[in-house]
Amino acid sequence: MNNKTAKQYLSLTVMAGIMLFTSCDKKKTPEAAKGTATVQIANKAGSQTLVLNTGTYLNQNGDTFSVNMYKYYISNIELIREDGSSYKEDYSYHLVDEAQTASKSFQLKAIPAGTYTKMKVVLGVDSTHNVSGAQTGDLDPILGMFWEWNTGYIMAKIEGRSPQSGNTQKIISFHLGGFSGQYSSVKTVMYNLPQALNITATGSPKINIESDILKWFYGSSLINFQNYNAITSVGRFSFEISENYKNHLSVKSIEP
Amino acid sequence: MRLPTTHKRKILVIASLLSLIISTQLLSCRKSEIVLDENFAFIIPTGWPQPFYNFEQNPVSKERFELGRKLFYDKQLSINNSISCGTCHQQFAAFAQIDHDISHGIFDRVGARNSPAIFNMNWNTSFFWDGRANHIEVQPLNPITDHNEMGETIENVVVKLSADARYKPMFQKAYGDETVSSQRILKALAQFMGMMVSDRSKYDLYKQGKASLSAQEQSGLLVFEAQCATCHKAPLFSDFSFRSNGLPLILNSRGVIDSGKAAVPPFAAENLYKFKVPSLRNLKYTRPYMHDGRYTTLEQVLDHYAQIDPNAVNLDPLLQNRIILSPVQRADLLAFLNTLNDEAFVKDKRFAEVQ
Repeated sequence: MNNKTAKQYLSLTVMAGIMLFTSCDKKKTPEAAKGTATVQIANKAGSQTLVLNTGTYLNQNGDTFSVNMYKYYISNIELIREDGSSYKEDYSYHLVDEAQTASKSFQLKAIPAGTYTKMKVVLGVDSTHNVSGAQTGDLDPILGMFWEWNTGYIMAKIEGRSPQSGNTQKIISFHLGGFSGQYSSVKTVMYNLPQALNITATGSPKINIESDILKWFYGSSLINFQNYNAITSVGRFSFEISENYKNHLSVKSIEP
Repeated sequence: MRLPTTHKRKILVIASLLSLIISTQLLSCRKSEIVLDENFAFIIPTGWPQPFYNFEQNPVSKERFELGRKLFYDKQLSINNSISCGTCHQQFAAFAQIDHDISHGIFDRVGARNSPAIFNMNWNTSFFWDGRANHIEVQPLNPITDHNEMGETIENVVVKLSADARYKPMFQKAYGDETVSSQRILKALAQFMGMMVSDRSKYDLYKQGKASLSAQEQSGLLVFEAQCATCHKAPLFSDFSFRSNGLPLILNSRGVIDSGKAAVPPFAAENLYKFKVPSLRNLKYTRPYMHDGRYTTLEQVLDHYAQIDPNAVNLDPLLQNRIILSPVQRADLLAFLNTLNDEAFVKDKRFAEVQ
């Protein structure tokens, strides 16, 4: 091997070595700062705080009722800047359960620093995750939000009682499901944030969200519990309620 | 381009070094995976279409399959630990239940439909006679929780199995730790059932050029192609569509007429009395036939097709003219259907209950 060739081999080996040791690092472009924000959820009945079992409330039709279970999904959370660019939460599925305090607060992570003015969410679980087999986390079927008799997630659920219920046991039971077709209860909603949300590397802003359970029962259709008290499958009645329910969430305030 | 030999050699050396580097890098950057048994893979039989489910999110391993096998035969999946999947899906019946028109569940409760056979599940686009489940992984949730079948909750199954020491090493081997979860249970069951491929019948050997059909079987194949093949499409022998074959509307075990696919959302009238077209493979083992097991012999089935009421509600247009066969055609067809029986499958030790 002559000297020139040897040099070539040496340089190749060095190059190879460098490539081997550097290849697994991501490109070292200066990374934009990222921060977090906390989503804090309060469940209400109009202006009253929702209290399971003991609280009594009045729907728009004048029916009184109490609630012993209130659960719903918020998924595909997206924060949008003025220029239209956005942050999408990774694997964004949150089951809010009034009985589980921890479920009413969660953190959005790795949000690029900047000012966000809108938030987009899917109320319910997107159709893809209704047709993709066994899921885990907040989509685990053990959480009681899955229809095994007709594959698909229950997007939102109210269980309670009302003296006006047409049911002999005076039960009210609303399970909204259906992820495709004309009666789908999956709703994509966009909210203008009441104040701009500033994300910085060090800040810990809070997005205060409220769900108003009364909104399930008026808006698009006025619901009376005499006729509507057990909606547990997909159809015209569940769709009517879901057209009301799509207004149940609102962004109340941003705490910097 | 012509280059001096030495240059060519150098280029070759550089190229091979570079490829070595690149391949090493690819390997070194890949996340660690559970090492799979190379002899244990899901193979699509030659000439078959792509399956609907191909284990993309559920990589096949012997350990997961074996966990699924144990779960399939475990009575703890039912509320009083009396019924397993294998109770109503027996291997010698090609995982249907022989001689049972409808299934028997916990506390001697009876179902309303015939236990369907389990094989070639990965090609199914939906499950159950009415297609109520859309994915092989979530399908078991229905029998586990059904009031008349196993009456259990998946939550409680997780609790029971977490307390069962025999499962700890199995979950450990299959998933890397002992944690029991609904997703792990369901994915393991999907591995066991998805690996049940029935592709070793005489017909399959014939298609591979390894066996020949008798003259009668050949004639039967022609009858089949002329009369049956649209709905019972080869090589799965079903097109997995929902159709009404004009069965007389009789009261079922619940005292009502089974409305078929119309019993599930969107509860459409156009789905009344429609059921999923079943495969014609393994008919020798899967009797009785039809969604309610009303026919115990294939002769009775063929009698039905010859006598369909053309005014039946939602009768499939393809059956408007009935299927009228001469005695010779009928015997030939039965001979052909017999070539679809897969004895190797019903005797395959991999799918048997572990004693």
